[in-house]
Amino acid sequence: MIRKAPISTIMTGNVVTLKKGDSLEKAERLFKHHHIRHIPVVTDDVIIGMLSYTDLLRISFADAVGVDEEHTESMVYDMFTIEQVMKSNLVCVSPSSSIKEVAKILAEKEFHALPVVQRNKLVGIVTTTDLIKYLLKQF
Amino acid sequence: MNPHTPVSDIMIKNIIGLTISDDLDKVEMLFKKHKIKHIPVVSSGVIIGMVSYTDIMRISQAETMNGNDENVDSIVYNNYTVEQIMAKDVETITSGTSIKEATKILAKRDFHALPVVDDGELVGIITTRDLLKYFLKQY
Repeated sequence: MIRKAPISTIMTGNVVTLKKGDSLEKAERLFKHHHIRHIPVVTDDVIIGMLSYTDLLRISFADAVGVDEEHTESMVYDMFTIEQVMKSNLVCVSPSSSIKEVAKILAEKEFHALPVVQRNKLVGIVTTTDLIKYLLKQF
Repeated sequence: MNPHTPVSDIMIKNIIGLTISDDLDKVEMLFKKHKIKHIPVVSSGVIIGMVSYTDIMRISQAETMNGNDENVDSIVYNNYTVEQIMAKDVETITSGTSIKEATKILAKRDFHALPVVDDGELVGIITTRDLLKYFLKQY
């Protein structure tokens, strides 16, 4: 393995993002349409939070079990804003961070995705799955 | 990296398990005490499901986000059973499966943990975090 390989070589560069004024229905649509689990929330390219599909499930599940799911979901979504549901204290890495460094953070922490930020601007996202796929190529 | 190294080299063998009759307060306590994210549900040594920390969070969060306090958790938990929230069709591997093969499965799927089963008996569990740790050691 290349010891110093930077994370920019395996990150996703073309990131799907949300703005804090977007609705949670839109967020759910994006998760499903792109088959992704994490969407950074940005204001003018600056990342202010991260919304995970799990965060969305948390607020829709309790009420949706056993009842008219679709209808209840949009009612629950109307009760919350993206800002309330997203995580805001984020660990970020830079595109030149090594893959090893990023693997260490994701092995130790609770979350599965890290925003990649350069000069305060969001330039990519890297997930546990990206690392696992990279790992697979090393065998 | 050796493509034939078996998962038994890195899997967690000392498994914390649940039974179908455990209440969700106990489940949450186990997640927190052992700082883990997945617990297999077993019935006489055989795995019948898997509960993730995310599953538990899904049902407790909706209430706590409305500004209620901690004891709301217990009230919500009483409405659900382990059987209702666990994932049922759990994909398993054997202890002789290579780490490479396990990596391949976890790279493709939506989940982060694979139970290891030999002759019908649950003998271990391997998670994406274990894979990242293994990966870090190879540098």
